Amino acid sequence: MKALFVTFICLLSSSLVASEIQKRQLRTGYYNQMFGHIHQTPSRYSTSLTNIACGHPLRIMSITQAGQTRTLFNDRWKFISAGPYEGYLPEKFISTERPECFQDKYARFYEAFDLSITEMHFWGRLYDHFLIEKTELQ
Amino acid sequence: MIVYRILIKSKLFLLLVFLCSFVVVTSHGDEVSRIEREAELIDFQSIRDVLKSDNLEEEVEKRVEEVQEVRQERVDRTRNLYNIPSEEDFWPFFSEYWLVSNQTVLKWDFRKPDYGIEESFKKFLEDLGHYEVEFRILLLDSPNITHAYLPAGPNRYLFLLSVPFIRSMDLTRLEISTLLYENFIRAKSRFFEQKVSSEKLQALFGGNFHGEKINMEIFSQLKRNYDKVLFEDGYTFQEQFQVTKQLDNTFKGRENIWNAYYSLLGKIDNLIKTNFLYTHYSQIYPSPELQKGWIRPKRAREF
Repeated sequence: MKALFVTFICLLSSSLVASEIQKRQLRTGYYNQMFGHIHQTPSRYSTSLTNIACGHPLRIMSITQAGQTRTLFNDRWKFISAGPYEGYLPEKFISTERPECFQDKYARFYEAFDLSITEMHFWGRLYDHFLIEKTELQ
Repeated sequence: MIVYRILIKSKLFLLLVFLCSFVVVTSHGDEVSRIEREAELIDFQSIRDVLKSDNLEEEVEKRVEEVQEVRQERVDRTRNLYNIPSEEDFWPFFSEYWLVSNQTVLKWDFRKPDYGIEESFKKFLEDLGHYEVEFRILLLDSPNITHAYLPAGPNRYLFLLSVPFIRSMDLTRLEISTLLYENFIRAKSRFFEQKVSSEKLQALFGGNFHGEKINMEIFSQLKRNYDKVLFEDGYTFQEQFQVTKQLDNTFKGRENIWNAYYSLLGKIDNLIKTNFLYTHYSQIYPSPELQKGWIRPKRAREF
C-alpha cells in the first residue's frame, strides 16, 4: 500500500513537472506596422492586452511544454513579451531590425493629425483585420 | 577670469582640449552638442598668438570646421522633424487614416469566417503574371461600399470588399478574384488619386514646414474628397469602359476567367435591379449592364 502511494506521488509530481511551461527568450524584434495589438491568444479576434506603435521593442519567446518547444502558434503567430505584457503577434509584423516608422520619419507631420487613443486603438485593429498577401515568382 | 586666462595659456590644457575634440559626441534633437559647448567656452581669437607659436593653427581650423559640421547636423535634424511625406509614403498613411475615421460607417471591425479570398486572389494574380505585388483586403460588414480600392503606395494595393455584397450574390472565389482584379486595374490607372488630389496637396509632397504652420484644411478637404468618390460620385463611363475593355483583353485567352467575369457582371446587374440596398451601385460603377454589352462578343455576320 505504501509502495503504491509513493508511486502515485511520483507519477503526479512527474506529470506536474512535464506540464510546466518554460518560456525562453529567442531574440529581440520590433513591431513594424503603424499600430497593433498584443493578443491574449494567437487569434486576430482575441482580447487585446495592449496597443503598440511602430518600432516598439519586443522579446520573441519560445514555449516549452511537456518536452515540446514551440516558436510558432496557429501557423503565423509569435509569442512575445513587451514590457509587462506577454502575448501574441503575427509573425509578419515583427522585424529583426528597427523599422523606419512613419511616426519617426515624419514626426511633426504625424503629430499634426493629433490622433486620439480611440483612433490609435482602431488603427491597431485595422492591422488585425487586413488580409495581407504578396505574390511571388513561381 | 585671471585664473581662467592662466589656464588657457597652459599648453597642457590646450592639449587636453584637442585630445577631447577627436571624440565626437553628438546630441539628440535641439540640444547643443558637447563639441559646440566646448567651442563656446574657448575663444580661439584671444589665444591666437599662443596657438601660432605652437603651430596649432591648423588644428584650430580643423576644430572649427568640425564644430560647424556638428552644428549643421543638429540644425538639419531639427528641420527634418518637419518633413512632409513623399507621395508614396503619404497615400498609405492617409488611406488607413480614412479607414480608421470611418470605422463606424464601414463596419470593418467584425468577426467573419476565413473565406480564403486572399490566397485565391494571390494565385489569380500570379497566374496572370503579376509578381511582387503586395495587397491588403479589408472586409466590410456594410453595403455602403461594395468594393473599392484605396491608394496604398507603389506596387501595393488596398482593397475594400463588402461581405453582405458578395454573400447576397453567392459569388465564387474566382468571381471575387475577377472583381478584385477590376479594382487592381483601376488602381494601376490611378483614377482615384487623380479624383481626390488637389494642387495644394501635390505641392506639399516631400516638402518641409519648419517655422510655419501646416494647413490641415488640405487634409480635411482630402477626407471629404475620399467620401465623395467612394460614397457618391464614383467613376465615369469613360473610366469604366477603359477598365472593362482592359479586363476583357486580359481574360480573352482564359475562357474560365472570362466566363467568371461575365457571370459576375450578370449577377451584379441582377442584384442592383432587385435589391434596394444596392441601387446606388450604378452611380459608383456605371454600369454592369453596359459593361456586359461592351465585352459581349459580336455575332458573326451571316452571309
